[in-house]
Amino acid sequence: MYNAITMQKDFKALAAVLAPDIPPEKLDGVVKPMEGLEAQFRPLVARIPLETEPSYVQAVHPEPSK
Amino acid sequence: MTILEAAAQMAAGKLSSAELTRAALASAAALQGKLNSFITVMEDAARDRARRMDEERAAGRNRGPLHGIPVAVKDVFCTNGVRTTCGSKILAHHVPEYDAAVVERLDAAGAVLIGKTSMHEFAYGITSNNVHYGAVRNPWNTDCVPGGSSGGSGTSVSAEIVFMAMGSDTGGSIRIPAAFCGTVGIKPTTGRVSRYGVLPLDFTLDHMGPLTRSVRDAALCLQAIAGHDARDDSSSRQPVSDYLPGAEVSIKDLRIGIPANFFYERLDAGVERGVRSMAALAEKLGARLVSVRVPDMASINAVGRVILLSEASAAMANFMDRRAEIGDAVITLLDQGRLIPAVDYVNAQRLRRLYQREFAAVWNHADCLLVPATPNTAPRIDQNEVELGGVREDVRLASTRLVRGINVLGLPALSMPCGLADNGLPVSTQIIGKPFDEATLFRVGAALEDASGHKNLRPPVL
Repeated sequence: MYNAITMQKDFKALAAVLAPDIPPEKLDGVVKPMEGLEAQFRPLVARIPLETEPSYVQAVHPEPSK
Repeated sequence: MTILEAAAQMAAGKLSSAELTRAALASAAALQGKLNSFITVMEDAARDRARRMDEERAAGRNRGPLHGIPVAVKDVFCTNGVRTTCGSKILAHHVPEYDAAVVERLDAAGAVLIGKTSMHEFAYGITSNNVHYGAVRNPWNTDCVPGGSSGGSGTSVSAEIVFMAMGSDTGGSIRIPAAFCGTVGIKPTTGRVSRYGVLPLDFTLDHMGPLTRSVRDAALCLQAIAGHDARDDSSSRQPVSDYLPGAEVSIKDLRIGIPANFFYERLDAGVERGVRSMAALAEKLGARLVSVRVPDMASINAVGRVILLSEASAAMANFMDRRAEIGDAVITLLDQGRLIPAVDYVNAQRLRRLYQREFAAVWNHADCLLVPATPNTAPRIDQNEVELGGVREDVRLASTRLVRGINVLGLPALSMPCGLADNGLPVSTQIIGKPFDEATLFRVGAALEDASGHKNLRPPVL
């Protein structure tokens, strides 16, 4: 079963669906660095508390001037 | 000569803007074949502008230290009626009908814009080895890259063509060329300088800042361009400090943090020697060196890469049906960004908030951090890997290792020369500060620059 925290992605399968225009001979060059990044990034997700919001915020304009 | 020195000479009537601009244009032309610093040189407009600035001065108006000073901007800054290519073939004929906020502010300060500097395609890389406009070459060794993506800004300042060139920095693109070319460069706090009118690589990591010949010049240039701009949603209303350090500057009792983890790992021997000599000099000047531990910067770098890959691919999505017109290295990165799910992007932005909070604790122990800007000196143009501490690293990942995370955190960081490595190439110190505390970075930088004499390094191309 897929575990969003621990399981690394199959980037070649993702590319076939999301970016089918990547030339086959270029695919390894695209995917290999992503596997390395995924190995670094995936474990970090487990430490995010539920209430943590993204660092960007929605601003309602116009803001009052200070 | 620095901006402050040139401004003093112009104020005393010993030098004119026309003379400075003529010299800058001549130097740009003479060095273009060797360095390839510019995509566009605005010769006629620059001469006219310099004449008008001299006329204003003669009529008794002085706009400040940038009045009549020749400058350049990276070709990501929109310029009304002048093409703005972003270093790309796709935008080769893009002529904006407005000026970027930074260009407006430089204009108001009296600067003379002589041209648009070359860069890595779409600002997406650190070599400035541009497949469309040619490789930009390092004035210290023309077989080496100048760094990037603001490569032409680094070379045009290092080779003394202009006094200041604006860069943009998404993951080190001001500080890396400053380090590789031996100039000063500052990436300000997020929101300090308007992004309005700058062609984006990324929406939450891009920062604008100057590259200059001295720390004080960087301070007065930032002074001219900093401040709130309602046209940029991320622009801050935080008051702008007085940045320019005085002639006598003290760092006595300032707490300078030296990280015990991450920043001093796997360095070129010359880089480590140079940066540690600056730390020792700071201590000699009365600062207190404090050992600190920083949060997991390798993980912060990973978070930054997820954000950058996602946002850059979103920004460039409309160009993906023209892939043949985009260089291999950039199209590979753009393809990678398309493979990141939205869930991971949002979680990267949530992790960013966590790490920003964790990093804030560092400031309980130190007023700023003193670390290397890059672990390596400028690589050769054809070099793909570099060996540091017995580990082979991709040149791009190595060169961004010590700078990328600072964009994720949004902190200000000043890069300044701290000598030469054994291979004769510049090495550079990075001083990182609290949000909106650029003034402390300039104070430390000016004290170290005054005491070290590294301001006077001149590249062999001169």
